[in-house]
Parts: sequence; C-alpha cells; structure tokens
Amino acid sequence: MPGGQYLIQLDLLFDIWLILIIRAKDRDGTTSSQAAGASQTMNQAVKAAASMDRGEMERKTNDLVQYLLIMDQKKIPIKKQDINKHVLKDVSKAFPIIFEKATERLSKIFGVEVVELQDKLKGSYILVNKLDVGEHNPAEIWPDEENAKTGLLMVLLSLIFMNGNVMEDTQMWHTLKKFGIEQDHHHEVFGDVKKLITQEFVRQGYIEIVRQTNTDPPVNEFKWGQRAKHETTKRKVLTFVCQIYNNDMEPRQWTLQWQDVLRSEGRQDDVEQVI
Amino acid sequence: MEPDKQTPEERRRIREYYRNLIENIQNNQEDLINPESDALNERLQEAEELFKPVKTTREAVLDSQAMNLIANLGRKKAQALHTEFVKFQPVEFAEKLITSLGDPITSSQGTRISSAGWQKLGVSVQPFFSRSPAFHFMCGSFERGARPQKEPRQIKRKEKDNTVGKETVPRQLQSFGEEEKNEATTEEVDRVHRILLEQYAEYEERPLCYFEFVINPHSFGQTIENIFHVSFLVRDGHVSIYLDDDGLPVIEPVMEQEEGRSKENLKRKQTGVSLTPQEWAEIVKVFNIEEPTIPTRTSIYATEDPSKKRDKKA
Repeated sequence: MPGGQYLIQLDLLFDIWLILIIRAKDRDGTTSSQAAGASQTMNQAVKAAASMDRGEMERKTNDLVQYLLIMDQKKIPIKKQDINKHVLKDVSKAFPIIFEKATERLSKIFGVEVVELQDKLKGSYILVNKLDVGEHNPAEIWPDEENAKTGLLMVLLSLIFMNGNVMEDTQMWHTLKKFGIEQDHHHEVFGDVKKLITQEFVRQGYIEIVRQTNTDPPVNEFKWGQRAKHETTKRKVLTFVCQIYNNDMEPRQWTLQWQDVLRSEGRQDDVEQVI
Repeated sequence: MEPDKQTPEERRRIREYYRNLIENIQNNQEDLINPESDALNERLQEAEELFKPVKTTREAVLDSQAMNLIANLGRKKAQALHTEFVKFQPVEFAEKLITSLGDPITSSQGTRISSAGWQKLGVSVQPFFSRSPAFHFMCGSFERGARPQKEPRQIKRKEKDNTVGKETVPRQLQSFGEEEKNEATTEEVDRVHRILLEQYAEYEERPLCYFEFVINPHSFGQTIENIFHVSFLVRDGHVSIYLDDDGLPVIEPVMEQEEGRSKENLKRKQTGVSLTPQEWAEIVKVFNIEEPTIPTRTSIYATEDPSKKRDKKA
C-alpha cells in the first residue's frame, strides 16, 4: 500500500520537523521563561512520542479522533484533562503531538476543525464544521427536537447581538414572553426552558451569562458564548434578522450593528465610511 | 463640645435625606436611565450637596451606597443611548418573527409559536451554524428506543433518606444471565422468539419459511437486525434452521422438552448469513413479501414517521 506508507512517512517527517524547530529554538536561547516552559513541554512530548512504537501512536491517534467525535455529540466542550484521563492515559505526556495528529485527521477526513477555547475555558476544545454548508443548501438533516432548540438559540443570539452584544436578563425574559416562553412555566416544546437556556446552552458554550457585581436585586447579562462566535458570525445573524424583517431592512441600515459586523471582520477602515 | 461635632439630631436628619434619596432613585430607575432625561445628573448633584455636612462613617456609608446606585444607573443609561437612526426593538422583532413563521397559536396568554413553527425556524437557521454533524445510524440499524423517562427526583431523595445509616451489604448475584435481560438486544431477541412461536402455532406447527420470517420488505437495515436476532436464538438452541425438500431454508422453534436435551448434546454452533441489499430486494420480489412478519420497530426520530413526513410536505 504505497498510500499508507506515504502517510506514515509524512508523520515521521512531521516529528522530525518538530524536533528541528525545538532545536532551533534552543539554539536561539529563548529569553522569555514562558517560551522556555512551552518548549520544554514540547521537548518532553517529542521524547514521549519517540518512545512509542508506530502502532501505538497510530492506535492512540485513532482513539483520540473517535473520542473527540463522540464527545462532540453533546456539544459540551471537551477538556484536555478528560482526554488524558480517558484516552492517552500513560502516554499523556505526548499530548501535543498526538493531539496535533488527531486534529489534522479530523480536518482532512471529517472536515471538522478543532478549536481551543479561551479565557476561563482554556484547555477545552470544541469541534466546528469547516465545510461551508451554504445558505440554501442544508447539508444535514437534524432531528425535530434539535431543530426546535436551534430555532430558539438563533432567537437568543439575534436578540443579544441586535441589542448591542448584551442583554439584561429581565429584558431577555420579557422579550421571550412574547414567544410564549416563560422561565417558570413548562414549555410544550422545550420542557424546562429556563434550564435549557441558562444551563444547557451555557454549558455548550453558546450563551454566556455574566453576573453583575454590586447590583441589588442581582442582574445577569446574556452574551454570546465562545462556541457561538465560532459556529456563526455577526454577519450571518444580521442577515437572519433582516430576513425576519421581510428584507424591508438591509444589513447596512442597522448602522450600529453593521459597524459591529465590519469591525468583527477586521474591516476597521470601512467602519468610518458608514457614518 | 467641639465645633465640628454634630448632634445626634443633625446626623439623623442627614441619614433621613440620604434614605429618601436612595428610595427615590430606586423607585424611578426607568425614568432615570432614559437617555433623554437629565434626572440622573440632578440626583448626583443632590447627593453631592448632602455629602457636604457629612462627618462620620455611618452617613458616609449611605453616601457611597447612593453613589454606587447612581453609577450603576449611569452605566445602564449609557447602554440605552443609541446613536443610530434605527433602533432595534426586541418586541417588534418578536412580532415579526412570529408572523413570518405563520400559523401561530393564539390563546388568552397571547400568541405563541407552535411546535411545528419552532422546527421550521430551526430548519431555516441551521445553515447559519457551522455545526459539526451529528451521528446517525446507518439504515436505521441497531437504534435504541427513546430513553426511558427518569424517575422524578423526589422519590430518589426519599429512598436516600431511608437508607441513611444502613450498612451497604453486597448483593449476591443470583444469575449471570439476568443482567443481559436489560439489554435492548436481548429484549429484541425475546420479542422475535415470541413472534416465531405465535406464527408457528398459527401455521399448525409446520416449519416456517426463513426468508418470509426475517425479511422486512420496507427496510434492509431491519432485515439484517432480524437475522442478527435470530442468530442468537440458534446459538442458544431455541430454534433450528435447516433446508426443506425444495432446498429452501426453513425455521422452526425447538420445543422445551427437546431443548434440555439439545443443550447438553449440541455444542454451541453458529453460522453466518450474508445478504446484500440487491439480494434482499430480489428475495422481496421473488417471495412476494408485502408485509414484514416481524413488525417494523419504531424509530426514535419522529421524522421517520411517515404520517409526519406528509405533514412536512404539506
């Protein structure tokens, strides 16, 4: 199987490349202690990976690919800690190398990108579809329940974004009431809808609820979670809102939101022209 | 008495002013954060005036409380200030969205979106999300039914309370086979066995055609599942499969009294059956199978339900 050999050789090349990079860095004499620490971890990883035979490396990489795909089903960010505990176990020192390989495979074979979350969620990963599904070509069919939840999620994200990227909980629940959603009432479609919004969506990383300090009674603010920022864009949400307004409104007519879209796309220069 | 020492009456009066101010602010939050009004500034000036005679901690605490409140409202006021010409109105958005989905449910509590409406919305917004795909079972095989509803938590708590203080005694495992009973496959195998016995009785205890028994003309996946389940029955010596005079495979349950004997005599024996979708289609045609002997298992996805599919098209 020449194809297989080719792959293995690529892997080998990759390892050698990593070692070379680290050596080069060592020669440079990195001054910052953080960089030194990182390269040391990498050094250990290369050593740990080198001590594994090819079959084991292959097995662990495949296990990790499978683990990530399965754990992603619930859409809850996957922790590095859990990966080490359940998959890598005694070879967890080689995490950076095996993880890199698994990431590459997920990307090339499954079209899925592995994204590390930031801030408080550092060390957690989510899977994001890399393929552009296109607006009028839903590539996938989801179960009804999932569709309904996504509908609600889009409503929440739209409200937050259109309201200036933040909405207070009182206003949020007041608005949701118009949709027949009340926090203390059982909903015919969503069941415990408060739990869905404040727990499930939050744990999945779609929504972030920030508790305001020094407020009485306590005020919570709804914001986009990190997963929302990776799975959708401000432009897409604004497009959706305009569709709801029967296309009476063009995206650029929402001046403030349109500026926000441009800024989020790094088109700072165009922002001024809008005004 | 030192000149800067205040009398208790004076201090009490200052505190009263502060409390009134705080109460006033709390009661008029909505007006104060209105970007058009200058009321919040006036309150700030008021607090500033009140602070002039303050000399001791207790009054100062009230002052900081008032300042905190004003600062928070100031932040809200800044948020409420929109410079753009079009202002986003959440309620307006809600109304437009409900109208766009069509056929809302109107009740005494107002209009709400129907279950189908939410699903329709979801389908239309899925393309806006780059969501990694969900797993599906190929051809619907080996799908578990809907998960059983969890017992209400309250009952659990009661049980817990009762068992507090009791020693945990390891339970003797009665039978090693018992546990298997809980598994879906075993359940299905039992069901298939029951159906075979019923059919067998109906056909006056004559062997049944194997293909007619296992083939599901509506689903290749379920056919394979049936073959899989029957193979368990063969392994455990509950049924026997053999070729009849025409060389066609037939299936027959092994009766209980025989069973005991066969269990001792027969070594566990298994053979594989291979079936391709083409062969399956051919068998359905040749044997003219219109309805499955083993009823189609219901899918956990409601979308597979043909009656709902029709709804969607309409």
